[in-house]
Amino acid sequence: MAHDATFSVKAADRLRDLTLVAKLSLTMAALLLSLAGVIGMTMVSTRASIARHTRELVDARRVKEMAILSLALLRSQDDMSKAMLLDPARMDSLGVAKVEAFDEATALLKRMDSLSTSADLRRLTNNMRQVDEQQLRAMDTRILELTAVGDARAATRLYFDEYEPVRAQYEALVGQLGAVAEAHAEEAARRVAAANRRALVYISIALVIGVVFVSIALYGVARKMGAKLREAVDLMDMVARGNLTRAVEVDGHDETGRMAASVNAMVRDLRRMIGEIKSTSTRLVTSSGEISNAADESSSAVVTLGEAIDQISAGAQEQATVTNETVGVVKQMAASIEAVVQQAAEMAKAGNHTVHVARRGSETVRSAIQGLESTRATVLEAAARVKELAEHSARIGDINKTVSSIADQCNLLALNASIEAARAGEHGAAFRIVAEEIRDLANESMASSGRIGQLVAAVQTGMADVIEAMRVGTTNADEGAQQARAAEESLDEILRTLEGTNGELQRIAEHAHTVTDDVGRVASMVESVAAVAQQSAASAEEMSAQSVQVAEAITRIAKISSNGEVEGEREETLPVMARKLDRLIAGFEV
Amino acid sequence: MNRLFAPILLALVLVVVGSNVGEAQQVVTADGKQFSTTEMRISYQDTVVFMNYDAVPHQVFSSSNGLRFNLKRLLPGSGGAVRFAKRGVAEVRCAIHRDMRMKIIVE
Repeated sequence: MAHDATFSVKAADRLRDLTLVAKLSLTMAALLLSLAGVIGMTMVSTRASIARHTRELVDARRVKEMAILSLALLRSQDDMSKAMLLDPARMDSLGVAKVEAFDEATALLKRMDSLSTSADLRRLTNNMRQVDEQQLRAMDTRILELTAVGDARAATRLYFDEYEPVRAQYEALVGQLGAVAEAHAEEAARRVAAANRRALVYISIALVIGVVFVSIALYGVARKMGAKLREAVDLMDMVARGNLTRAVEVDGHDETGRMAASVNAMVRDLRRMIGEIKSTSTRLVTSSGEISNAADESSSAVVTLGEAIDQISAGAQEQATVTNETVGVVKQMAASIEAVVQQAAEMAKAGNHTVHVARRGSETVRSAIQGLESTRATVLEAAARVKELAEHSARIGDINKTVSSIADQCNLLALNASIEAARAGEHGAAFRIVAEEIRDLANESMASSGRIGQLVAAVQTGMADVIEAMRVGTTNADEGAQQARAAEESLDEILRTLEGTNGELQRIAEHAHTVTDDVGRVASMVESVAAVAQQSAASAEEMSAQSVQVAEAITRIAKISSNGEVEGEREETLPVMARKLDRLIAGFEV
Repeated sequence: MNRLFAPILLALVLVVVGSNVGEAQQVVTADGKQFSTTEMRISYQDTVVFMNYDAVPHQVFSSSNGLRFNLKRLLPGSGGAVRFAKRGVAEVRCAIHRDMRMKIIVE
């Protein structure tokens, strides 16, 4: 319950906060929806009622038409029966047509039964069907059978005596059915008309109620707006007369509420603004005096400042001159350092060439040492070979001695053989000749052996000389190699020293480049300092000129802030203006 | 009497009608004011012989579209034949007895 109450309060607050247009729109929408609902429901109800009654009307009319049609079909069958009674031969052709008419009549009866919505219609339809099925059809069949077998007399009698009365009864039923159906149709038509009238009345009432509600809503809105506008106009009149103490009542957040709030805010802002103007004018009087004093003090300070600025200007000018001289000196220093850098670069270049030459000398000495060592090895190898030859020649000498000894013994043997041959007489003559020959050969061998021995001795002597010469050569080669190594070491030492010197020269050149760059930067910085010094001098001169203008402006401020009007000037001083403002604001009641 | 002659008549009808070789013949009888069957399937060009075994006359006919025929009055013991030259369904009835109905389906 409490929850519902809270919800209702919230809903009311929200409704009050809506704009007038929204409120009007909501009201109109609610009314239109209600009207549409009432009209729609009325139309739906009426449409259903009209549709139902129209269907009843149509069905009743159709039942009536069908009843008349079934009667016509029955009469048509009767006509065919009469024709067959008169001429049984026509039965062959008329029999089929009669069945077709019968089928149509039977279908009509079924349809009538389904369309008969009221009890009396259904009762009459049932009666018709019973008469047809139970009486007329049986009698008709019997008449046809009699006709088919040629008994026309019996058939005619049956037709007129029994069939005709029942058919009259059927016709009476059809007549009743038609009358009842027509009555139903008329009743349905009346109901349709009544439903139409009723719908028209309901819709008219709904429209009238809607118009009344809309008028009431519009009147309420217009009344509220008018009252609020009058209140706002009254307030504005009071504000125009200088009374800022009143306000308009604010109720809600619609257009009138927002207008009232805006008017109140405007009056409130105006009140605050006037209050601020009052206090500001008071402060203005006070401040103008302070400004006047401060302007006087500032004027003397500006004069002092001007003198200081003149001194600064002179100092800056002097600084610019000195700085320009410094720039010249720094540029000369940069040129000298550049020359040093070039010399260092040339020295480094020469050092590189010397190192290159030293490296080539060292390589030459190294190859000479290798040649000497190779020569020494070759000489030692040759010496070994010569020693072997000496040993061989010694052995040749020994063999030669053996040959010489053998030749000597052969000579003795040949001599003995000659002796023995001589003793043998003639028988030994041949043997003697051989012995002589052997002795000659032995002598020649001895002579050859002697020459060989001389040659071997000469060879051994030459070999000894060669060995000695080789030993001396080897000794000289060793000494040469040792000297070459010493020379190589000296060259290496020279090379290392040159490389170290060359590295130092390179570093010196690099340092010289760095120094050159630094000096260049120093020169540019000094130039910047000189430019700044010149600008400072110019600025100081300009400040000096401006300080004079500032002093004049401060003097003017002091005059405007002073109490009283400025002589010879049309402008008013600040205190005078503040007093005028006070007089103007005094007309407002806040 | 009719019962006696009806089979003979039927045999004669069948002999006369069945002279066409290759066409079948079916027999439907009317007895007790009812056809002997309510539905029959026959082939195209077949012949159906209707025999009246009742004591009352009948008039067998069909008004079905394309399959119309009318055997006119069939007195008790008599019969008639119909050759169906089209395919379809024939609703067969009696013009005298409206409740007599049967269906012949020609395939």
